[in-house]
Amino acid sequence: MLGVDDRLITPDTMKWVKVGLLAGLATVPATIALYYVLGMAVDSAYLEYLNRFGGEWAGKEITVKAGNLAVLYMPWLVALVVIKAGLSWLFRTGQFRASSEAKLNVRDQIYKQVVNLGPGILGKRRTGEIANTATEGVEYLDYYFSVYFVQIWIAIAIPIFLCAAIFMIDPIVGWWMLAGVPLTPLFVGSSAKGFRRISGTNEEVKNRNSAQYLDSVQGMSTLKMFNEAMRRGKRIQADNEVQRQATMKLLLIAQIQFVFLELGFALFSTAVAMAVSLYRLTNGFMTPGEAVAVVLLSLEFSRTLLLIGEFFFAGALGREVAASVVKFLNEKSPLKKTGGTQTPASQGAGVGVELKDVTFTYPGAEEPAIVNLNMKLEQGETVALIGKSGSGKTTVTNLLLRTLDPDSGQILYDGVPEEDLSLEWIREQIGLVPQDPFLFYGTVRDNLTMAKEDATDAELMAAITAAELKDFIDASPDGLETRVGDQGMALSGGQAQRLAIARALLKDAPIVILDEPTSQIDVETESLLNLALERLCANKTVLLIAHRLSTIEQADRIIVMDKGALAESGTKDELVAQGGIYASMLQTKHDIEDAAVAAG
Amino acid sequence: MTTATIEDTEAGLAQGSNLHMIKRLLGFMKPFNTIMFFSLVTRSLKFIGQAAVLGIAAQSVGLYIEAYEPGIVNWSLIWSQVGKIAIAGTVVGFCSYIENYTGHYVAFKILAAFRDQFYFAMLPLAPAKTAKLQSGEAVSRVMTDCERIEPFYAHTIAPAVTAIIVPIVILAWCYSIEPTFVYVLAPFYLGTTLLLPWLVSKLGGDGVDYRRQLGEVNAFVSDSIQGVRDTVAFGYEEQRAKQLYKIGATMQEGQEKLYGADANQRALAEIFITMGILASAWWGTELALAGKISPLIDLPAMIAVSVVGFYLSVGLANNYTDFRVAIYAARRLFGMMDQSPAVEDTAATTPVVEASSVTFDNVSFEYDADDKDWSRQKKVFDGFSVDIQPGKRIALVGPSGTGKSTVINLLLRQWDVQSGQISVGGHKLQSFPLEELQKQFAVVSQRSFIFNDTIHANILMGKHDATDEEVMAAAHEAGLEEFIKASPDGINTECGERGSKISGGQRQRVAIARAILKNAQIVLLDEATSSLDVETELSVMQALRRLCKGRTTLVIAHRLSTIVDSDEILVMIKGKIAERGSHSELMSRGGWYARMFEMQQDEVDATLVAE
Repeated sequence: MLGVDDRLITPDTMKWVKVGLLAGLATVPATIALYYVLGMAVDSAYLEYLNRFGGEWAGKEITVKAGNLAVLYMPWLVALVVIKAGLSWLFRTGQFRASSEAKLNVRDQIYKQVVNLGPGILGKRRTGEIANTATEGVEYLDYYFSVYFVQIWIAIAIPIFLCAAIFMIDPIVGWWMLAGVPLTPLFVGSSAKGFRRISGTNEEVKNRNSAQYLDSVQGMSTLKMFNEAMRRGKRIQADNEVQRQATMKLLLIAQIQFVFLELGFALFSTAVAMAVSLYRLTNGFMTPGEAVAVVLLSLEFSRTLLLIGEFFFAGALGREVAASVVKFLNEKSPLKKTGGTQTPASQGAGVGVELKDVTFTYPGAEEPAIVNLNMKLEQGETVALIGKSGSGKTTVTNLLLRTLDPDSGQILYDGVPEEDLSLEWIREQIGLVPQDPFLFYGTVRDNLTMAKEDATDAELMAAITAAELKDFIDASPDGLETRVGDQGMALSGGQAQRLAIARALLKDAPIVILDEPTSQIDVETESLLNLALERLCANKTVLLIAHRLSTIEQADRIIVMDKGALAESGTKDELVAQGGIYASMLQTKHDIEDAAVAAG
Repeated sequence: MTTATIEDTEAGLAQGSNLHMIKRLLGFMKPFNTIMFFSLVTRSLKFIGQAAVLGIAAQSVGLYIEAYEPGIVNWSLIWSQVGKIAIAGTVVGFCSYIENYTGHYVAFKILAAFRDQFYFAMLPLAPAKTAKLQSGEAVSRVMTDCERIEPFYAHTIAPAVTAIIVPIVILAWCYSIEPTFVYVLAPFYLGTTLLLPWLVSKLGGDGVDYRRQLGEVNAFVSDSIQGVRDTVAFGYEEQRAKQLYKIGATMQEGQEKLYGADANQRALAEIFITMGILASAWWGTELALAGKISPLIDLPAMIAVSVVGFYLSVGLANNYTDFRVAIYAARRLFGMMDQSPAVEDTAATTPVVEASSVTFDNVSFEYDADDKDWSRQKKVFDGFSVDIQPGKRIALVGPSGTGKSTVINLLLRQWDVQSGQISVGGHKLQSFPLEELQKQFAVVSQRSFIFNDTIHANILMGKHDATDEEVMAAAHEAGLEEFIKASPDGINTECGERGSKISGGQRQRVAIARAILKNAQIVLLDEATSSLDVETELSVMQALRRLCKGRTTLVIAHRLSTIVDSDEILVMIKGKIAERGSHSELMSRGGWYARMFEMQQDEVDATLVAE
């Protein structure tokens, strides 16, 4: 009924949309009744007037009692007032509830889909974009659900109800009014066309101006450094003015339709209602009050216009957001086959992992990110993975976490193919320490318990101690309840890293994937960090995304990736002997060192 | 579970009563008062015309029956009434057109005025007070706020004024027929136009609670989505989803007040209107029966006209939500615009700089010390002193967050020190007019801001009246020549949004060309090559050397191998110079520098990092 994706609408939303709609629809006959009452009041007054001052009505018999109708039918009228107020209240409440239920649901759906698609598909940039849709965007849905859906049906219902009512008063007038009904869609059609034309050109101009404005505000300090800010501000102002004038010229012509439409409405609804009623009155088919009622009802036709105007403009934005949400929800999960149930018990130290002929291409990408990758992590082994950024290291991490599935090839955990394993089991096996750990807004405790929900304070402190964070916690007055601020901004790079290590220690998973910290994130206490890392990696299968020669050299094995493929694999000495990427990298380093020393 | 809170949700909002905000907003309208007046007049005429159309039609019944001969259709009267309706309808049409046009005119004008005002208001504040505007999203929000204010002019003032004028005209017309009718009708009009909006604002509150809760929910949602990698890796997604739903549902409960108030207002409005209409029918009938007005001419017309009046008055209360949103947006914008600048531009004459030395003398500094909401409560410098001789190439290194970039920020006088003194060429920074001070420096930073314009336009920023030859020469020196020759559009190649259409190396070269063209005596390099790979870095370094030649240079660098040949290296730790000397001196000292240098030697990323 709503012509919108089912996932955006919950039964609760639907229920309240229906409540709002029914109340809105019921308002129409109530309003018609009011106008009919007014007509009858005129008849009633006229009869009493004739009684008092003499005279006779020769047309259609007036059946209503003579006198003051408002007094005669007081209880009925009070009921009408109450009903109208009640419907109005219900209409509004329904709208609000519908939109608030819808927003709650949409946020929920978006988050579930974010999890479903996972970090492998959603890069950092996209998560920002989606977060924006889930916050600001969802607010626009409000109007879409509360106004658009309901109003469109009411706007359709009004002319139907009105014509039916007028038919009941007099069928001939009814036919005439019916003839005027197509005016509404005509009006909407032509104003929509005009609106689209203007907003189309306007939108383009607006976007261009907006981009320029955005650029200038963001680059304001640069502009100031070059003493260009004033000049640029004036230029923007002038550009805007030129475009504004062009738009106004366009509007000058485009809006001329208002003249004809308003005039047309006056003539085709009110004047026709009046003229035909008078004609029918002459022939004894209508009373004066009925004619008045029909004239008043003609006003209601114009209300349709107001409504349509309201939802037409309001709906556009909401529809856009809804479409983008639906598009996002329609994206397919990167996991091909889920529902594996095996949860093998661990066999000794760590869990071994093997990638067999794995190829993976990101959706929409032309080049595969991983090409025929064969790679094995034996139980308890530490493997250093090196490669340029973009060589596929992060993709390997995501494949191992099974947030991505290979297009071809297989990934085995202790010899069991991943699709036979339960997803939770796989993720339980891996402790992840990224280079840029995401710390959630909240306390140190919140950020740790996500690894183990029922961890005791003793366990938390043990993990913190092992991660060499104890001094920091002891020095903070709030201890475990220390807030880590917006995305962990209150912690230094090294502290955030160690908190991530504590998190992984608490999880105590047999496989550790570790993106080694670099000097870029200011490891002010590298020795502490190294201690923490040693503790984390003891007796584990470790995949070390390495950045330092010293750690690379300590690994059991080194894997060099290049353009998504395995370029070299072996011990340090084997690789140096091979004279490949690793060897040439060492050479480059020596060259730079030599140059530096020479310069120094 | 924890509830995410955004502490500064309400911070930075302009304070003061709604009335004060309205006054301020109306101030913006001054230049358009005439056209706005015209718009209001035509809008009022439009509704009066509509009332007239209905009134004429309703009155026709009585007029017709007065001259009624049974069975004979009085076409001449019908046509004359249709003619009157057509005239009134034409007035409505033209007024509607003019009102729409002038309404748009004012709206567009105000929108543009608001944006311009905002831009120029931000100028003296940048960058010290514009931290909130760093992201594109934040700026879009500003633009949305500007758009949200527009309905205040289009949908608040006009309906408010017409909702008062039109009922007055209607009442006046009724008065001319029968004064007592006004006594019955007027209270109901007053109720819907004045009492209701007042009541609504009392009942519904100002929506501050709602905004705060929404801020919390949004922070939680963003955090959840952006932290999806870590959530999934720890199998925490279901708990997080539950928390997210719960916090949303909690907010929903909190909104009941706002919702309820609005629904109550609608119900109340409906009572006022329906009773008002019925009351006019009741008193009209009484008047007709007392022989004071005609039962079929005046009575229907009065009823019809008063119905139109009610339609209008209720519109005002319906626009209250728009109004509230507009006021909130205005508070946000004014809040930003009202900040006092971090530095004041008071110097009138420009001191002559003979030798470009730079001196920091016992400088103490803390960011936003005067602003409770933004203060980090942390002194960056506490008695910092350093002396840079003219023409020297000095490197500034150290852990992040120890104040290296602050040195540059203070030199450019983006902030003022709390105590101590900074001077250039022996003259206090405050003795330079700000524009003149900027001319002393050329800055190339890690992510130099490249405008969404051509390479030529971006370079021209260094000297706005430079000739094409000068621009080409600067591009050449910055090492852009090959790139320009290889591009089909040459120097007119578009750089894209924030320089996204050209590579990182080219972006830095454009920034260098811009700095070369500026020809300033002091060059400040803030991590100028940090984001480049080793090969690109080497070639960009050559361009930088050309820029720095013969000029006082301060280089901030992360990769120590790039600064080993500096005249002097300063190691800054926690706002103090901890080590100072040449590369070999520092290496033999075995301090932070030596340790960091060795650690970086150990790193392979520099030799691996791709563009």
